[in-house]
Amino acid sequence: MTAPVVATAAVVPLVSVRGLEMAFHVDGRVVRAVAGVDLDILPGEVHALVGESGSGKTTLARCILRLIVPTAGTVEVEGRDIARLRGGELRELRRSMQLVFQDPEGSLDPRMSVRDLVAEPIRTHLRPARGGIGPAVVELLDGVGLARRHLDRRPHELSGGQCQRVAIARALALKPRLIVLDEPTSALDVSVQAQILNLLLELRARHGLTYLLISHDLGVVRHLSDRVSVMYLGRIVERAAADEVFEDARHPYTRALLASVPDAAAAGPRPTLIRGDPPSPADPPTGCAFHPRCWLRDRLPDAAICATTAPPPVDGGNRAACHFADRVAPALAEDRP
Amino acid sequence: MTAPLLSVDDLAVRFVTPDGTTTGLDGVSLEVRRGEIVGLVGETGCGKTLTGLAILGLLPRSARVVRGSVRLDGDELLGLTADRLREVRGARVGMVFQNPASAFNPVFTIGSQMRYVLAAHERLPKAEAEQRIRETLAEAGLPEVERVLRAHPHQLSGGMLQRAMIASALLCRPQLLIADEPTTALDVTIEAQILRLIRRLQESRGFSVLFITHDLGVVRSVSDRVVVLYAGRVAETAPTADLFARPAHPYARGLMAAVPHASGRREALASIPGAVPPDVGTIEGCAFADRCPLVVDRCRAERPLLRELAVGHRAACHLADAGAIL
Repeated sequence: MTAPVVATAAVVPLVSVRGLEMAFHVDGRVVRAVAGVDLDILPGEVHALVGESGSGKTTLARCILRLIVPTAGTVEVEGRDIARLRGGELRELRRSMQLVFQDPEGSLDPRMSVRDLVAEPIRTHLRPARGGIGPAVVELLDGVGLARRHLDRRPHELSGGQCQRVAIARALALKPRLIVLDEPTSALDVSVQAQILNLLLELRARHGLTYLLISHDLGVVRHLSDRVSVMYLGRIVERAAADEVFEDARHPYTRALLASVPDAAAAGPRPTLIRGDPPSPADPPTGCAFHPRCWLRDRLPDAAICATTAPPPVDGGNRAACHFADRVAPALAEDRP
Repeated sequence: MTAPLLSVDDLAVRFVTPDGTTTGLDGVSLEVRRGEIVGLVGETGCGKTLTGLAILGLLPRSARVVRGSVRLDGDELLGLTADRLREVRGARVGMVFQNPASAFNPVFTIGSQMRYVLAAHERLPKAEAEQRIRETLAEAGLPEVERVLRAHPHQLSGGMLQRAMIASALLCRPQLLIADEPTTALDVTIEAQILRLIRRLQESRGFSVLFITHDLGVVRSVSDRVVVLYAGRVAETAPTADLFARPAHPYARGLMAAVPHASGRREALASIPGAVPPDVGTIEGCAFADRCPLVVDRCRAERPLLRELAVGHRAACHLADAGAIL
């Protein structure tokens, strides 16, 4: 991995999200899938969004890509509010932000050859001279580890890993600044997953890319990411450098999430830190949204505030949105013999 | 030592399709002893699900058992009539599948489906049946028994449905539970709860489990012993701690080197070059030879058989001798 990106005032974020909310109307109720998020994605970093199903990871990413328009808040890309972009500026935004999906075969048109799949975004966005695309397509495929002999194949003639390479080549074709990777290896076997993860890191270094990674696999997140934002019920509850999140998490939810991971590197059972399902975003708990499932609250004599008052949000000076973040590590230290 | 509860011996399955035939399983042998959880692990297409289906007599129409035997507590299951197999399934062998939402019928309540399962296998007085169902649900970690019984599948969360599925599978007190990727569709927080539940129930009731998964982390956390499948053949089998400490087969080693860990970042992930052979039945030597970093001439000429390297630790590799794995 390259040197970790240090968040300093001198670095201008590539993407800057402020006060973002996305509410959906479902069966007459309002569901706040994203319930107030601030997020900076720095140029050159791999920023991961982690959290359970329904925590708002994908909805947040869709707002950043302007695939959906948020109900409140702003998304700025290189200082420009993307909601105000029109015409050529909007096309330029679309070009500069690409998306790689979970299901590689499903995200490729089954009737198109690899050649056409990779050429399509170039034709659409860059309007090249006729006949001038061929070498660019071959170079892109070479860059993702595919050869000339793959040019005339269709998706069903490729393996899952090869399809994902084609999807990555399509994303790279437009020389984007940001690539959103939505569960990029969830559908792949581990041996193939390793190839794709290695490729993604190599491409990041070669092209100076920025990734927003959405993944439920915390091993993948640890391997790829520089910084991690942990989401719970539409909010970011902890944000820090990846090593800090994995080695020294400050939010009880982050600890619980990490303790749940069945790890091929660790033997034996680990302490249970979480119970039950996440609550419905249509009916979120009062105070801290995590309080009904919180193991730390159970151990504190003075935790009435958790059910009544929302903790201060994550920002530059506050790593974890928890009233008792400083009690997390001591509480777990007591468990050790 | 008592005889194993389940013993699969030299099981071979072929698929017959309009496009020709291909090999699904090519001589799989494995055992599940009484009271143990055996993890059956491998990648897509290695035959792990097929093994489970063959044991249950649930193979798709296109698949044929070519040879081999499946014995449950001494009774041969292959070749049983459909009626006799139905007596085994549900009663002596319980099943849990990956997607609980599609394993239940969406138009009936959980309660009616559980009553149906129980009535199919045991004739109990109504009160006794109701009590059995309620006790089993509570044991599976669903304390709101009445609500669950009245619920339709879509009204329960994925985690609750999987608990109900496990309760249904255990309703008739089977000797063996076959769980095929039971946590793959769940969040890690829920997965951890389900894995603990299976372990707890196994310990309190003493049944055996064949746990099918692609996830090495899950296998490590839940199973006593592991069987690694590759291309329809057993590559390696060992007690769980042994396998993870000293993987012997180059394929097993490759898999472990490819997994990213949440507990510590690895500098580089190893990947396994190449792809699984299209029809292992046509391969005379080792199925992994074309992808193996250690391959020698003998690997292509002669099929490696499972050899004992340490107590209970066997690998099908010409080069995996006792010295090489230490």
